[in-house]
Amino acid sequence: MSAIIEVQNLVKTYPDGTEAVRGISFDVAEGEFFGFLGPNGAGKTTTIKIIITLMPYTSGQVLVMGFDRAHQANAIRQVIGYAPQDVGVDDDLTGRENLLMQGELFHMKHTALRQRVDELLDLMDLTNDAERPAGSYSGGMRKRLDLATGLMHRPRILFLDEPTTGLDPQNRANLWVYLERLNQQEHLTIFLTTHYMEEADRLCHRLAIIDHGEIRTIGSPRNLKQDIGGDVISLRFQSNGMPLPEQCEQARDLLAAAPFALGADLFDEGVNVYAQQGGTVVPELIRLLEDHDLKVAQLSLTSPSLDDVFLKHTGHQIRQEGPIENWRNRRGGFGRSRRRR
Amino acid sequence: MTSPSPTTSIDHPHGPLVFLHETWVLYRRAVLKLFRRPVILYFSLIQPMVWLLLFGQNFERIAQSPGMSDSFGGLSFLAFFAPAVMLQTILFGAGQSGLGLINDLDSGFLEKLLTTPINRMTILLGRVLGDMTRMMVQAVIILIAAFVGGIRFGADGIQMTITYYYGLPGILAALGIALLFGLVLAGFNVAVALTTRNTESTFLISNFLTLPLMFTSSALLPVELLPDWLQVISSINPVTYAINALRVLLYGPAIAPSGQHVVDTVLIAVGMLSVLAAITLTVGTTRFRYVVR
Ligand SMILES: Nc1ncnc2c1ncn2[C@@H]1O[C@H](COP(=O)(O)OP(=O)(O)O)[C@@H](O)[C@H]1O
Ligand SMILES: [Mg+2]
Repeated sequence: MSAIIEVQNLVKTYPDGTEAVRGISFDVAEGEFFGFLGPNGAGKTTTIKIIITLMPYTSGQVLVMGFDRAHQANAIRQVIGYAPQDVGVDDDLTGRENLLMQGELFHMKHTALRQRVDELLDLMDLTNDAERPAGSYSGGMRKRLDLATGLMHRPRILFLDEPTTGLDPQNRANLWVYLERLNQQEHLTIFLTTHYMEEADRLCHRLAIIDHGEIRTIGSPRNLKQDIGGDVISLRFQSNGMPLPEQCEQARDLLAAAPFALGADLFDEGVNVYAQQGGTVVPELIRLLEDHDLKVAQLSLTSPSLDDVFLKHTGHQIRQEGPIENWRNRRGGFGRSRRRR
Repeated sequence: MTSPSPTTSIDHPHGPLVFLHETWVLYRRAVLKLFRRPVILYFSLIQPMVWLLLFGQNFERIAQSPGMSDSFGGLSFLAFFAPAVMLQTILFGAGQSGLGLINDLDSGFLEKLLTTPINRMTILLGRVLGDMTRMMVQAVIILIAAFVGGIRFGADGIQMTITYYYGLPGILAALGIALLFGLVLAGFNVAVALTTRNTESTFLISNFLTLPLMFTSSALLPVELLPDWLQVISSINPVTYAINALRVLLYGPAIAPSGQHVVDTVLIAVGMLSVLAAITLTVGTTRFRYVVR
């Protein structure tokens, strides 16, 4: 497998001084389903917008299919498709009209154009709704139409910025199926950003954990989880007179140094301990804590999840505030009435 | 690191035909949108219609009164007022095109267009041409409404109170002036919309401008009937010149500003509007280039 996207030391500092991307490097292989997992403000959108030629960057190198982002932007535009975080379809036009327009802008010819439109409507299960205005579609349908318009010109790479943010869980799971279908059946390379753990876990062959403009680690979800080593024991404590955060820190220091543990991290109001065969170390662990007057209120033993991976590499939990913060009332404003037929 | 050689053609075609094609596709979208939301088109005509048909009636006696009718070039007030309403509609509707642009910015539609290899300027051109089309439709509807509103049913049968001095050529030339006026506003809108990037402000700015521009021009009354200070303002208000030109093209020399030749009235308007259009379009284009850079 060869790299279809190569990014070297990419830096983006906004005019106001915000260092959104601080020297990241990564490759995406052809045919790969690659993901950026990170909280709001991590620099995901900024990175995507630079690669797809929407935004200038400060320094570094970006190659897409060997084309240099610095001076071959139009060649890159020819081989990429993009579905923005806010759905970029025209609500006044029908599904079919949206697709036709996109194809015409790529100078597709009549028969090929019509064939491709039918093909994509079929692939995205929109054939029956093709003649309705996109404004009357459900959230999931609009997103699918958005994907389809981005695919009209048969791009080699599809960029998806938080494709399921704002969708309800059912529509989200539904969309995953379409994305997998595209990756497998169309051999499309997909670059996706998300702040949903399960989404990254389910879809991505490989993912980069990004936080504060830096890539903390890259790997397949499976390897990342294995790297944690063994199981995760999550602990919460009873009050013993000391403030809870101090208790947690004390416990973390104790456990990180304990011979049976591979490591320990703080989270919200508890401590995560990583250990091989977690079940067998629990008695020892509790004894050690009680010797230091730390009383366990709650203990759970799980195999590692991406949450744990994220915590381990960033030192904090991913905050799931996305859906609310990112939800812009895109139909607000003047005259954006919802039409139903 | 190696990269696969592209199998897709990477050459986006170039040349004037390509430019025209892309502009056409985006223009067609703009027009399609217009007719998909006819409500907006009608809605933007309600206020002008009320002005034309009701306001026009209120002033009818004044225009006909003995001392006055000369100032009004012997026209009915409806006829006198119709060109003003045409421009008012264009002014008022101007805000909407700005709103459309902001909508595209907010919705991600523009972003998506910008990731395609089309020429950036076709996006702006398609929109401006779409706006022009809407303005022309509105202007023609106002002209027809005024004409119909001017029909009187008297004892001696049906009588037309509005007659067009130069016939169809005059009407077409008047529409041309309206178009030029629209171009000034199209540029202005793009500039405002891309500067504020906010629907509310854009709407307010265009709304706020319409009435003062109308009242400080020759829209409601001939300039000589305005108070002195308003005469001064109206003499630098481009709306005055556009309206004067529309009136002479529709109704002939009798309504020309005193001592002015018809051709001069028209040329002054064309010159003034062209300069203004060049300015607003340059600013609008610059803003647009900045946004899509
Ligand atoms: N146009 C901008 N000007 C200044 N700062 C920006 C701009 N866009 C984004 N940022 C900042 O850059 C950082 C990364 O933003 P972004 O790439 O949108 O993150 P994400 O997509 O991961 O949520 C954030 O701190 C954000 O506030
Ligand atoms: Mg983002």
